[in-house]
Amino acid sequence: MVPAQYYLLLSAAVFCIGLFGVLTRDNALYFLMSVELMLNAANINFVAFSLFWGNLTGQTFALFVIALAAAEVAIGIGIILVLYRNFGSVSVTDAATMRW
Amino acid sequence: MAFEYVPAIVLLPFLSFVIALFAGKYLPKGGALAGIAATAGSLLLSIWAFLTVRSQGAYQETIYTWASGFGEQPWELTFGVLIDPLSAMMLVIVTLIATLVHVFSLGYMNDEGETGLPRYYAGLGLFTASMLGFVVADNLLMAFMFFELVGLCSYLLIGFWFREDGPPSAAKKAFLVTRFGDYFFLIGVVAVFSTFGTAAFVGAESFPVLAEEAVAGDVTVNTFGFDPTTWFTIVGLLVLGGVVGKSAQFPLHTWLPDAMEGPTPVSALIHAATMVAAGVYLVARMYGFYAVSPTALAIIAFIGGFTALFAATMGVVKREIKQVLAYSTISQYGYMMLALGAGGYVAATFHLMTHAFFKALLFLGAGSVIIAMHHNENMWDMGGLKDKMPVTYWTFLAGSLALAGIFPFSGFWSKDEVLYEALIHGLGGSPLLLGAYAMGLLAVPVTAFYTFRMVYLTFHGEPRTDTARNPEPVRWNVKFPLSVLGVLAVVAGLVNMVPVQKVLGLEGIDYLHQWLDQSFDPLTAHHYAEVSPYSSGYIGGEATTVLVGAAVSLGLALAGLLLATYLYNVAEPTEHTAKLGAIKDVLYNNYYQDEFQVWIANRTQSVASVADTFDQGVIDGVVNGVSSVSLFSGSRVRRIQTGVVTNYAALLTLGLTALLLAFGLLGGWFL
Amino acid sequence: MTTDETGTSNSGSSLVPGLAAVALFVVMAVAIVQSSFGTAVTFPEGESIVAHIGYAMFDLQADMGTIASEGFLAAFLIIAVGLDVAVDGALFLAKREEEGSIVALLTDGGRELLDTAEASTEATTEEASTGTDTPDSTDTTGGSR
Repeated sequence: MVPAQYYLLLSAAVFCIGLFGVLTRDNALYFLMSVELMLNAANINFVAFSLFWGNLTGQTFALFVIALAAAEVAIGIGIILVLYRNFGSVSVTDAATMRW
Repeated sequence: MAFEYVPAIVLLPFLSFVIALFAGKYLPKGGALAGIAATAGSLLLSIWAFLTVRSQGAYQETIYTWASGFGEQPWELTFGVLIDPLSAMMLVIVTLIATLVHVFSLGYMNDEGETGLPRYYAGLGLFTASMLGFVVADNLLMAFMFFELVGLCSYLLIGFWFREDGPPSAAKKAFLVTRFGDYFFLIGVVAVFSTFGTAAFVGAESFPVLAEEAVAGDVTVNTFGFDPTTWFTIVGLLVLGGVVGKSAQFPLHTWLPDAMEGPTPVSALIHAATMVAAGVYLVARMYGFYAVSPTALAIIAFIGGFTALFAATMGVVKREIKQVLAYSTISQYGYMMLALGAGGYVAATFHLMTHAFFKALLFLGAGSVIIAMHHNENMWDMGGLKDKMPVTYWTFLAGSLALAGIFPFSGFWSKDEVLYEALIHGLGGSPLLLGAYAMGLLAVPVTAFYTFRMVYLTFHGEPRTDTARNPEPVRWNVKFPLSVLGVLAVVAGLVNMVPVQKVLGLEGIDYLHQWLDQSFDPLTAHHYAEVSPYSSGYIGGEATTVLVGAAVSLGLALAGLLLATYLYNVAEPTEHTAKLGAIKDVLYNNYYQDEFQVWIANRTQSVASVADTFDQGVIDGVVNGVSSVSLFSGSRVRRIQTGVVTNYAALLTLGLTALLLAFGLLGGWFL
Repeated sequence: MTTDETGTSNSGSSLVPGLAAVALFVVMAVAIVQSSFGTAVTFPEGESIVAHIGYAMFDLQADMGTIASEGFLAAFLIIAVGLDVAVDGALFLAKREEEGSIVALLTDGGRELLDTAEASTEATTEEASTGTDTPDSTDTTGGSR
């Protein structure tokens, strides 16, 4: 059986790739994709430890995470539309009016 | 029944204050009539209360609890009234004199066409109200509050003519000097609270009773590690600080002569009934507390005796009629302090009463003279006023005889009892009291001398100026108060003819002694006599001692009177002060007390400026520094808030990384 | 973080924040490699995992299943409502402009639609011109980072 550390490393890598996308891109659509990666990094952990401990809770919960990701994308797309409407672009750097 | 109206005694003058302040300029006489009505109403209610005390005994009620604590010591800060023989008598005196002063003010202020009358009558009303509140106070804190109000009112009234040079600075001086004493009083109030947990004057849990029991060892109170008697002496002396300031005792007497800058009726009110009397009244009110501390009593007696002599000598050389009276006031209050310190509670109260009458009379008489002289107060410009203003003359003479202590005027009886108490308790094994007695006795001829010097210079001889030849006439509103007080100055001594009782063996004519014994049990005169540490000694028998004491003081008074007659009761009196030589300058300059206090003030200036520098530099610097540092750092730190989502994400990531690193390093994850 | 005229991102200069992600990965990786989890307990042979997930969804795992799990009926219902809300919210956010345009189209014969179309073309040209200015301003603000 594959050791648990490998799953964790995979998960960490996926999460950091998603985080890298969030940090380096300014297109809001990239953000949605990157966040999807990060959520799925969490899912990898859920499923991996569900298998590791022989308990179904993690797998079931992963399903809920997927559902939540769908909701998040729906709202995210809505926000991006509003963003585009107000700033004329989907760049997150333009929407910088809420600051000091 | 009457006691339910006691708050009204205080509130009526307060009402007149409000009326005069807000509606005075629309009223005839500038609010004087409201003031007269209010004080007369208070007088009637006071008399009613007085008679009720006589028939039903003393009364105490807590009216309003404005703060209450919790925990181990549930303190309660209250307003209440305590009507016992002492306060009932004082109420009558204060309201009577306040009423007469209001009436007199019609002549002194209204008829003279003064401006700002509403302010004047508002001040008088508030002054009377605060003094009455002080008199009825049933606890020390309430007394302190009204004590302070009295001081404030004296400031307002002394500085009534604020456009001139003298009055504002005199008012400031009065305020600051009395405040200096009140500062100690305030600490004393706090000390009383922290020691006894109560400041009530009366009741089983009142602080004089607790002090007595603590000295006897029956209860324990928080004495901060001191022996109870020592600690009570300290607390008593702290409270005494306020008394010394208000009652113008040495060394805080300097404000009082300057306070003559105020209108003369105000001087009468201050000296006879309200402000200066407050100090002595306070000691009498909490006499049970002082009685347990022989040291405090001795200090009071000594301060009193010294002040009596000290002030009297300064009165000898003054040129202004009101200045003479001012020093006589200081001197007479010295007698009262002497009596209190010598265990003569009744004697002090007696002298407080008779002095209130004859000193109010003398001030109002002086006011009458000042009206006649077109506000020239210099006695050397007067003379021969006897025939021009007979009512003033005869009443003033009655007051002067009382002040000088000539038989059978009221002052004789009270001063004689003061000296008698000091003498017998001094003979009973307190040599210090004999010293105080000697000073009080020495002050007697001096008092008689300056009093009659004043009388002769003012009323006798030939007129020395045109104004004195044609004095302005005074009206009924001046003569009426003078007449009432003149009668009282003559007969008030009859309420307490202890010497006659003792010499002739009559019983029951010491009405004041009996009266002051009708109070609550721990507040009675004979209880104080039991508590006080003195025992009595006599020369020969009691009657002999009475006769000797009275004869000596009367003889000395007559000697002073005769000397004044010899020197000044001539057609063209001349100044004899030059014969005093170098002493004259010292006396003129009041023993350089003012200069001394200014010198002290200048010495303390450097301390004050260091404190100021510390305050401005360090305290304010720290406060300002904290604010500017947080302002500056805030203006920098807020730049993190860029509004760019990516930056927030980066910060979150860095933060998480740092947190993981920290946990990992501390938890050994990386090993 | 410059934006060219087509709106695509030129991320050349913004790779630096990505280092934070790399750093996080390094830290996590080191921690993970150092950790140990003991022996695995796998699922029993021959049981249907999917069927048991179905049981867990409706709180039936205690009665019918053999694989340990918690009940998720409440979570299931809450997520159902949450998804509904998300869809409604997305619609709400997305719909507004179209609605306004349609109403305008009906009331004024489409004049406002034309106006907004013109305005939007102006806005894009304006933005093209201001787009050259914004890098400076964003750089000054972002420069403190």
